[in-house]
Amino acid sequence: MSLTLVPLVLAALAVAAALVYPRADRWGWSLAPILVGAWLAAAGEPVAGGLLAVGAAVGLAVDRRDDDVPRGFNSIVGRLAALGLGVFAALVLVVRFLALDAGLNPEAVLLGAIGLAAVLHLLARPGPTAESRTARAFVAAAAAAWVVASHPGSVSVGVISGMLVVLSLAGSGLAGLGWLPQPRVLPAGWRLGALGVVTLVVVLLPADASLGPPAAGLSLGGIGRAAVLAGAWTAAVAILGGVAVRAPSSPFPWAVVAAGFALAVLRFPLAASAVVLASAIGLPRTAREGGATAWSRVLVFASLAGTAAVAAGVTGRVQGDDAIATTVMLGSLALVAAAPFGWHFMRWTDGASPGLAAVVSGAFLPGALAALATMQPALAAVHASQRASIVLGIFGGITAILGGLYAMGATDWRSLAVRTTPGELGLAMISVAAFDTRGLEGAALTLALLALTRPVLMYADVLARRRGTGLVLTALALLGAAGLPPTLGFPARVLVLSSATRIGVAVAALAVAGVVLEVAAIAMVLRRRLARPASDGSGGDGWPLRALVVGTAVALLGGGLFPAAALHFVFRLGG
Amino acid sequence: MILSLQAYAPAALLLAGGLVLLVRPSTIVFVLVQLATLLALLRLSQIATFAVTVPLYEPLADIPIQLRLDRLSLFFATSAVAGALLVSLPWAGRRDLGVPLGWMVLAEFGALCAILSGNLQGLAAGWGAAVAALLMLVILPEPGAARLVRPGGAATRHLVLQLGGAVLLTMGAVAIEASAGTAGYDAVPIGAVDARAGLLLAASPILALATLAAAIRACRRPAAAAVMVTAVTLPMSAYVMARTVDLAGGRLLPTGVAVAIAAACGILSGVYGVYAMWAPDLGSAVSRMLNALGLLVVAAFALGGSTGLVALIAGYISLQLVAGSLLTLLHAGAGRLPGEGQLPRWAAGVVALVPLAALAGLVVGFGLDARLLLLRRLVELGPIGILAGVPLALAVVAIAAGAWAAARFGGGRLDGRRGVVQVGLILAALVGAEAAAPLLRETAVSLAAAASRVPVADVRSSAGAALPAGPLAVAVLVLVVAGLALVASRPRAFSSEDGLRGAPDMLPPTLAVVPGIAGRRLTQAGWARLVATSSGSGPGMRLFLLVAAWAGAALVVMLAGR
Repeated sequence: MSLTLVPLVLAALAVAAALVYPRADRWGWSLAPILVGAWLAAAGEPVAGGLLAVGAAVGLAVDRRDDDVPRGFNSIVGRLAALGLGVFAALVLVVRFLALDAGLNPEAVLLGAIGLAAVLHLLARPGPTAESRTARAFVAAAAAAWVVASHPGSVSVGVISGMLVVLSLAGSGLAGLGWLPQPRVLPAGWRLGALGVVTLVVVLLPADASLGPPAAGLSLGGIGRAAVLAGAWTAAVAILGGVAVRAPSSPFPWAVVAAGFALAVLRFPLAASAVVLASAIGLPRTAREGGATAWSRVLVFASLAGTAAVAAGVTGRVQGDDAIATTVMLGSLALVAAAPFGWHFMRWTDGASPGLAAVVSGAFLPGALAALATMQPALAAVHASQRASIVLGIFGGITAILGGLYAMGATDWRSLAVRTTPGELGLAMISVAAFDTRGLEGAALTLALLALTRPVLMYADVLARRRGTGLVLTALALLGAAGLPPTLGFPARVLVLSSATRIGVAVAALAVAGVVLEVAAIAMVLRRRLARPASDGSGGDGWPLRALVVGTAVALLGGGLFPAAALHFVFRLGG
Repeated sequence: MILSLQAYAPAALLLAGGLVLLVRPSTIVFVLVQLATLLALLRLSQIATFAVTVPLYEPLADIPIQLRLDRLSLFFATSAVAGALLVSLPWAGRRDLGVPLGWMVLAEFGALCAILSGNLQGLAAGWGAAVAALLMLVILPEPGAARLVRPGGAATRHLVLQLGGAVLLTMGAVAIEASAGTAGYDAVPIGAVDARAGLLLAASPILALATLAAAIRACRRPAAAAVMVTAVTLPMSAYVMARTVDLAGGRLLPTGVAVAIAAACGILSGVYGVYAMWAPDLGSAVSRMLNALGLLVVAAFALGGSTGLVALIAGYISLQLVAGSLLTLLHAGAGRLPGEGQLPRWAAGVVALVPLAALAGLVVGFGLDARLLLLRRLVELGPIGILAGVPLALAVVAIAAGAWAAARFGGGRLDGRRGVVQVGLILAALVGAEAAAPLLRETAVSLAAAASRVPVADVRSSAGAALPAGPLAVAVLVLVVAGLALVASRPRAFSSEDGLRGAPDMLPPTLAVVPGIAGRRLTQAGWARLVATSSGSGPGMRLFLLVAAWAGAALVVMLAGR
């Protein structure tokens, strides 16, 4: 075994110690990333390793409250880690010793792992974090299965990937990392205004390379630009919507907007990890629902998995190609709320305020998807592009279907907007998975559609009561969400379905099923909640509403009739 | 005037008219828009003697929007607008019809774009635009309304099916583009449209025709339903099916699949025909029987071949005429067949009975022709076809019985002289078109020959001369109408209040009503349970999601293993 692997082994031991001795859990969980940082430094990536180690140390220092980790969390993690390792070991045995058919493809094993984890979950005792446990078990089983099945003859690959899985599980306890103080010293109005300005500056700075050398360095093209534009629009809608209903949200949404932009702008996953960790701390504080904690832990996991994978990819392929691809994708999937991680996201957004939910779904997640798209070259370079394409497409398809099924239970406009967001992201993921230009175009249009329609639907209870303007806006958003012409939804759907067809029949079938479920959910909500009166009857009017109507209508119809022009703006002007 | 401008004119007229009508509804503007569009289409039919492709613009790279003017598309486009003009002509001058004229014209615009499109993406876009207008018609019947309108259960189901159908059509278009490398009608090779892609393309029209009753319910008013069915749903659906057969080179489905689908359509059609006999009102009876006829058109599409294609076209025209006339009667008689009020007994009887006879296929014309051609095509397919013909033959009988039963809904009051003109116009159009059936049949034969790549003479020979031609056809038709007038003039045979003697009672029997009520209650309970589980975080939803994930994964593995 190479010496460079020693820190990884030690990290695994630290995790094991944390699992076995609950009193030492905080030290164990924190020591693991420090050791991973040491491994990164030894492998030739001192900056990344140093950042990770320092972040872990800082987290250890500030994470003094016991309530960050729910009571009994370690025992649950331990049980599920054992479960994941058991699944992993079983699969190793199956693949290595049972002489399976050579034609068995890794995807089949991956999917088998999904089913196995699901069945085990069904048999497990239900508890307050059952979904979280399922997600982790799923991650462990899927990652291990795919990696091992891809390299049945390589012990080292199996060991390393198993360690990564354990480390990922362990990472869920590091909620103290990346804590950033919120600007509480400013009055609420000042915070809103100042952060709005900062947001717009962050948006405008990378908008166009023609602004000069500083902007050129940060300028974006392609899907990153689409994410930035989507985020800017969502921020505007959230601001205007907040003004329209006379209920401005807390400043945190705008901080998340800025983070989402940074994620897309910087195009550097290591930096993105810090942003994600900050959000993981911030999200539970903005909502008191149970899903927030679980979702923040998923974000932490995503951050660590992505960090480890990309760093490993940079430092000379200590892992196997497929292992890199797997972890990159799993981290990204968690970020973009893919199934089954989306369960936490949906639970959280169901209870969050409309402004915050709009910002997160319209700005933060598109940014994360853009980060996934920027990783395409890395995925393609590890010689796993075809399998990665299929797996990513299947993940996207399953996300779309589960999102669609969940959306069938929507009971009002806001709920519809929230519940259809993961499905839409799943469709965008399918488009990204095609690994070609048209696929990226489809994802960009889907993100734009998400940003244009969902925030409007979140405020539809107020808007739909307005004779004329508000009503037309709601109807237009509805047409867009349903993917009907002449709105932007139609070209977005055409490109997504086209990408799914190029990936394979199975992904195409999943995509169609997801879209059909989504439109069925929209029709169901029409039946259930259209006649509901507004919640407070104090809907605002005036320029915010008119600005929303005109902007959304122009963007939805203009993008629908001239999608090529929209894509040209997105892809060519950015830099 | 240059060809491209003339090619854009019909769609541009409908678009402009629809937008104007959204802002300022007016029946006279509606009729004038239809008339102008029809004239523009007739002009196009004159100058487009061969297939012409006119580019419009390219919304996405390698996906152009273009119009294709050929005989098939112009035939369906012209018949659609003619149908709209026919059913709307009697409205001219009425101030408030209570129907959303703007959305109806925009739906027509979508249908016309789909029919005249030169490639599959344009076809899907046009279909989607028509569905979008239908959606708006349902939830926003008046653009100046205070709030969106909540659709009923049948309308919601119809919307779900239509929205899903639009997705399937789009999927079919991109699938064919992926396999053929192009989606333009001129360039798609015949082999690229296999049974799977063809069924994806045809799924939307099949769904539309199989749920005609729900479509009529979704439109709320018979007048709106008359326009939507005759000018949007029927032409668009029949065209897409005909174009699919055309792209597939005349033969789309394997014989076994085709016969199975035809038999299923026959069974469903028979069920609808029988179900119509227990309808609680004339609207339900008419919509169920039209649904049954729509399923016969689907059967003709499934059977394919040149004979099947002729049957499809004949069935489409028959259905369009019958739907237009019956829904107009429904509107004119305020939900019942026109009674004696402003008409003499025999005239009221003719007005009520001729459309019902046409629906039953008893009038010599398209309806009878379509039924005979359908059975002929089944005989062509051999013993398996004859076996599948049994449910279809029973369905024909059931539809006739349903039409007989529908004659019990008499006693409607016409709206003065305007009502008399309205029913007179529609009746004259119906009889005139049926009389011209042998002539129009030649058009259907030539269209079918072109689509199925078979010489016209062969199609004419295989389809056979089912109908009497020329003066003989007119004579037979006159005899039929005179016979119906004779029946209607005898008080013992036909009462304008109670309908035909022997028709079922006015109210449906309890046995027929109870299963429907029970089914509705069960469905409501099931949905309530699903909503309750999906909106909470209980174990039920988790179990549901996990089982769904497991099933999806298994499906993917199975598909990937092929």
